[in-house]
Amino acid sequence: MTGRSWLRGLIQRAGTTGIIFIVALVAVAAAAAGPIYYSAARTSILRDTIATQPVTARGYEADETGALTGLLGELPATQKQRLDTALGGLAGRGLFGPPVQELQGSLALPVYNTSAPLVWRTSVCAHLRIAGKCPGTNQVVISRSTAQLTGWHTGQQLHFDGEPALTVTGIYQVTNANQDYWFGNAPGATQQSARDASPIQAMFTALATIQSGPASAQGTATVDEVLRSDRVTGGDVGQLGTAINAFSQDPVLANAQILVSTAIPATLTSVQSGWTALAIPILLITLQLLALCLLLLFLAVTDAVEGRGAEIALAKLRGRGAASTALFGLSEPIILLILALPAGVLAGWGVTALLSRLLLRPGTPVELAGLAWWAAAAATLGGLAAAGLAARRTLRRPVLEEWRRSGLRMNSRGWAVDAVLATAAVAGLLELYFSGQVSSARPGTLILLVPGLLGLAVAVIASRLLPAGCRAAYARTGKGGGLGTFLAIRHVARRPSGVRAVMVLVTAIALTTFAVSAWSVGDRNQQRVAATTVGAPTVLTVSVPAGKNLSTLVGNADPSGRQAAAVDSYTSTSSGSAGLTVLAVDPQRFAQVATWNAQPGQPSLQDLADRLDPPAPAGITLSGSAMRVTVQVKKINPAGATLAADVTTGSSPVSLGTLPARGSATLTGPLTGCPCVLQDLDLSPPSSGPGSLSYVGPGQVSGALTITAIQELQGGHWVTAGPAAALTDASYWRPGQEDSPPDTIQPGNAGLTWTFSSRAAQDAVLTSVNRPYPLPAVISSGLVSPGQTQATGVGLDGKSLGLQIIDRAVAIPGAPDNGVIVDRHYAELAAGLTAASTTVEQVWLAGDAQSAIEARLQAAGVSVVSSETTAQTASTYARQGPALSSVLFLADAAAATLLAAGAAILDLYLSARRRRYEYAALSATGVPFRTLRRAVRTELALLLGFGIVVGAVIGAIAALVTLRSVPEFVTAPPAGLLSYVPPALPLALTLVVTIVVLTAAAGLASSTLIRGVSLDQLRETPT
Amino acid sequence: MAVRERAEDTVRCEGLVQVYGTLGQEVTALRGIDLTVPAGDTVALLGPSGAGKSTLLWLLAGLLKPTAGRLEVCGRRVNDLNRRSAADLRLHDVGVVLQNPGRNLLANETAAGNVMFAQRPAHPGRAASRRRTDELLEAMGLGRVAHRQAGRLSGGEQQRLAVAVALANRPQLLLADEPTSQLDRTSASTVIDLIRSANESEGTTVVMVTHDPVVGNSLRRTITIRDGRVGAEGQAGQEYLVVSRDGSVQLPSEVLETTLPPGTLIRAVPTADGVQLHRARPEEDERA
Repeated sequence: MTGRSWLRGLIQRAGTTGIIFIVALVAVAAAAAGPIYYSAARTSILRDTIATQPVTARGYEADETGALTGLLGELPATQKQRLDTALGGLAGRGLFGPPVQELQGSLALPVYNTSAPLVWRTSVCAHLRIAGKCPGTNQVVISRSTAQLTGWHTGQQLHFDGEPALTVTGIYQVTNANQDYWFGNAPGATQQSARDASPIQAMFTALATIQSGPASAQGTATVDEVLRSDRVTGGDVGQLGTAINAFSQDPVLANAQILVSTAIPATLTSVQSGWTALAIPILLITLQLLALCLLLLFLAVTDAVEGRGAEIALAKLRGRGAASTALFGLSEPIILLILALPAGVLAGWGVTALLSRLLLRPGTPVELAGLAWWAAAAATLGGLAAAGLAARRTLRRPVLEEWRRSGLRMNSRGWAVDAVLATAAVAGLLELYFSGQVSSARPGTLILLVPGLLGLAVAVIASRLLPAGCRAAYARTGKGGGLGTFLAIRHVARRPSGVRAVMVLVTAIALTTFAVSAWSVGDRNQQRVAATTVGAPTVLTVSVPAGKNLSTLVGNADPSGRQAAAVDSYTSTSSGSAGLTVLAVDPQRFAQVATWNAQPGQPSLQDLADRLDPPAPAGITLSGSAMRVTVQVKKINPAGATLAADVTTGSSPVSLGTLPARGSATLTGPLTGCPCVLQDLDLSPPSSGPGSLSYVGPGQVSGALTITAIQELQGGHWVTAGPAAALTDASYWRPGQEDSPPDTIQPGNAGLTWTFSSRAAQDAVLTSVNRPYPLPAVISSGLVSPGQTQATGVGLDGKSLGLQIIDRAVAIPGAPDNGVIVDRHYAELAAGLTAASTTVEQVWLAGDAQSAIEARLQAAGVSVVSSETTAQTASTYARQGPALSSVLFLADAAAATLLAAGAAILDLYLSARRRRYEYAALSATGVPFRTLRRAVRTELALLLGFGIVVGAVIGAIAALVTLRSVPEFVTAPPAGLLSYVPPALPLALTLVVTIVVLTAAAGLASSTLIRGVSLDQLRETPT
Repeated sequence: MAVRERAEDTVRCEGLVQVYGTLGQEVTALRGIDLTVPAGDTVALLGPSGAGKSTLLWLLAGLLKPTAGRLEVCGRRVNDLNRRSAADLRLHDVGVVLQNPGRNLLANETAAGNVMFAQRPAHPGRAASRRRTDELLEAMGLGRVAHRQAGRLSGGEQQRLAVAVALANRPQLLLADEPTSQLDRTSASTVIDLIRSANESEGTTVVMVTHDPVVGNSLRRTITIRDGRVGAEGQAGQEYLVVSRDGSVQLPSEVLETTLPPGTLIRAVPTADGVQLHRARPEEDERA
């Protein structure tokens, strides 16, 4: 055949040609898009992970200790050379940022019994805010805290033993301690570095200052380099991990006493585990779309080759051999498939680039990987195989049989193909069921095959029921219902190719319904988990100026009480309670801003807020310069016990003196830094010494005394401290021990009588009550057993704290699995207003409050160390493997549906067009065109409607059965947070859009078809 | 192009039987055909519908395998042909013209393209192929429409083109299945003239199925097939009965309708060069 005649054939069969090309294009595009998307998603996940890791997990530090003068000459060059060797081909890619070098010596400060770090660091002044100027040779800048501690000031000359005088040229503050530049070692950063072991923070100077020091001076040289997330790609990870491992264990470096510390390999390993959540789903999703495309291709090529049956018979008649005839018969599909290869790859690349721009980390490269071409070529080969299978029967059919061919054979053939499809689908489902994929709640990626297989199995059977149902309706439509319905019913019943088109449509709609359900459920769960994990729309981690209370500052910044809440967060690292996070909150404000996932029947956070801070005695506040306690000792054993007062300031405890064995006494002690709150009175046994063992046991004290007055010295006068009723009301006090032998308190007119007996090696303690005991708390349900009302948690000081469980929650905002919410004021009192060093102060903000509140807080001197938002976290989830594969599934399913719907409508249109002779004949007998149009529309509506309804039902059933097992997160969140019931709105929208599009297309097709019917066609030979 | 040796008899059928199996039933289309067509002969196959004419034609084209009997076409035993060698037979030795003009041609291809399409598997070489194509199209009076799409030619032109296509590879045997039945008289005689011309100029043996006695009489021999048997043969204006292998003879229909209706008893009276048939009357014979 000449090219021109071949082209004419293609144009004449434009519908089928178009379908074959588009299906082939989509198949190739899907096959190519899988690897392209996977490659881009890997890079996106990698970069996301790198960007969110602490700097130490994405960089390395090489250090060498020795004589300061030569250190920096060797280290940078040696480590660079060894790193490049390890990196091999990656060396020239600039994967690491510019190295930051540091040289550190130390200067003895005998007056403080310590030494001061003298440090040069690359371009350090650019990372400091200096009140003064950048130091030169023999000059230094000192930190503000060092200045406060030492009293050093700008312009002062500092003298150290054996060193030239150093002039202070400025007082610095670190601009941003979280910058990669500092590699986690910024002076005064929360993370304690070895350098901060000295109370004197680093004094920065010029390199010459250190290098011109004594030759014997020892110190450390350091080189820090941080991985650049914008340079590294998914394909680098394997080689990079191996290279960094080799670098960190390089014997050459070890021999040179250069130590390399890095957590990059661990980071890369965690990245790779995230990839596994992506690889198999993408493969399965791609294979499903590919399989559907190949099935469509099979059907389209079957029709195309059947349409050329007469030409193929003619080729055989003219003596063409089998191969030549096959080439002749399949030339059109083959050429179309070959054309679709580059076009499909480019289309897949383009669509993936678009999808990646919407979904992946900004700046992620979308490269046309070599694997994409291989996958596309495999899809093309699959298409050729499908085309070969589709054409096989026609090509092998004898010439005479082709000439005598009737439509009956189409039916018998359809059953064979359908039987194979249904058997394969059912076998796949059974395999998944018996391997535990369907029945298990454990997430598994193979579950993604269920909707396709279920859809196909049911589609094969259901699409066979439609003609049967139509045949059953013959009698009814024969008696009434109009000619249009009569014709439509009969055409559906008698036309097998329409049934096959519906079968594919059912499968595609089932896939789409499932994909929409999976995506919407996953998205909702990701939003929910993000909101709960972060705790509020925005959480700021702040640093509060000394002497300021965060609650007060927040109150000033948000007078409405609805936009911001102060929160202290402490996560225990102690054994037994490790990981437990106590959130000390302002309950009323917290209830306004925190994310709360109330389970059915559970009270709202507002209701719980009222119960978190029940009224408690005000406690005894001390604001004078001294305090005194007057006691009447009834008995005390052993004699010589001393009394002290714990108060909430740095000067606590206040030592009051030794109690007599019997009789009255007034003990006095100084107060520093008050106002403060009396925490307790502490009675200690005398120091143990030879022969001083108590009769009650070592280190114990027991007895009884009456406290008649607690006073403080204000303005030179002793006045009663605290409420007047403090010594006559038992609710103001609480004995330290309530178990055997019980301590007791007894208020009376003379004062408060305290009977005590301490345990071994413990003091007797009388606690001043200023908060509820135990502290009301809302706790993660996983931490307590059902029915439990009390628990022991940790306080902000890291010590154990008794808790009264007022409610348990599936997920505590901010600490879903292991959180405890308590009242901030009471928690601080319980901790003696002494928070652990790792307690983090936070401000939780409502959705639209960040900019305004943050500005007000900063104006009040609060510095924002970091911020975290629900949207950012949800976005991170959305860029993880499960979410990315879910979106790909959605896109692929949508493409499959469009393809199947287009193919179905075109198939129905072409089929109806072949009946135009019949319609022309009916028209000649007086049947109006509107009746014929109604007949075509009813036929289309029957087939497409059936496909949509059955497909949607199958997809919804598959979603309800399997969504629990579809992976949504890389790390499983609390199960109680998640819901697997598909939201109605996305499903309804999908169905409505599908119905509208199909109805419009079907209407257009039927109108075009009937417009083309004319009586002239009666002169043609019926086909 | 290799010169193929021509068999003395292009077609040789001996006791040819063809039985179709359709939907569990067997239909005997040919019941023992004995026929020889010498090279260069022209034969018309006549007979009523369903007599087996087309079946015989498909057997000669190698599109069917005989159920029994022996069939040789162009020196090849059709009984032994597989698909490949049957295709080779049609490619090199047998040209076929079908009844429906449209079915003979690739409608999207040009007239010249159709001829070349038939030639291509025989690998004649591009120049030779083009020369042969031009020669055939000129001979068929289609030179001016050589580059027109076959589907756009008239019915007569299409059938002439079909003859050209069938003759493209210089076949020894040209089979035509009612090539003129859908043509007007003028077009029909043109096609027949062309076929006869090919016979005369290239020595192509012609076997043509036709219902048209005029067309049949334009060929040298007519073979009438009735009920799967060769019933009669005409040559040079004379009609002859043909004795079958089982001794049966098919009487002409006019004799059956008038002189010897079905069920008539006859007596065969041998003569010096044959036999005479007489109506037999047993009761008279008894009385005598």
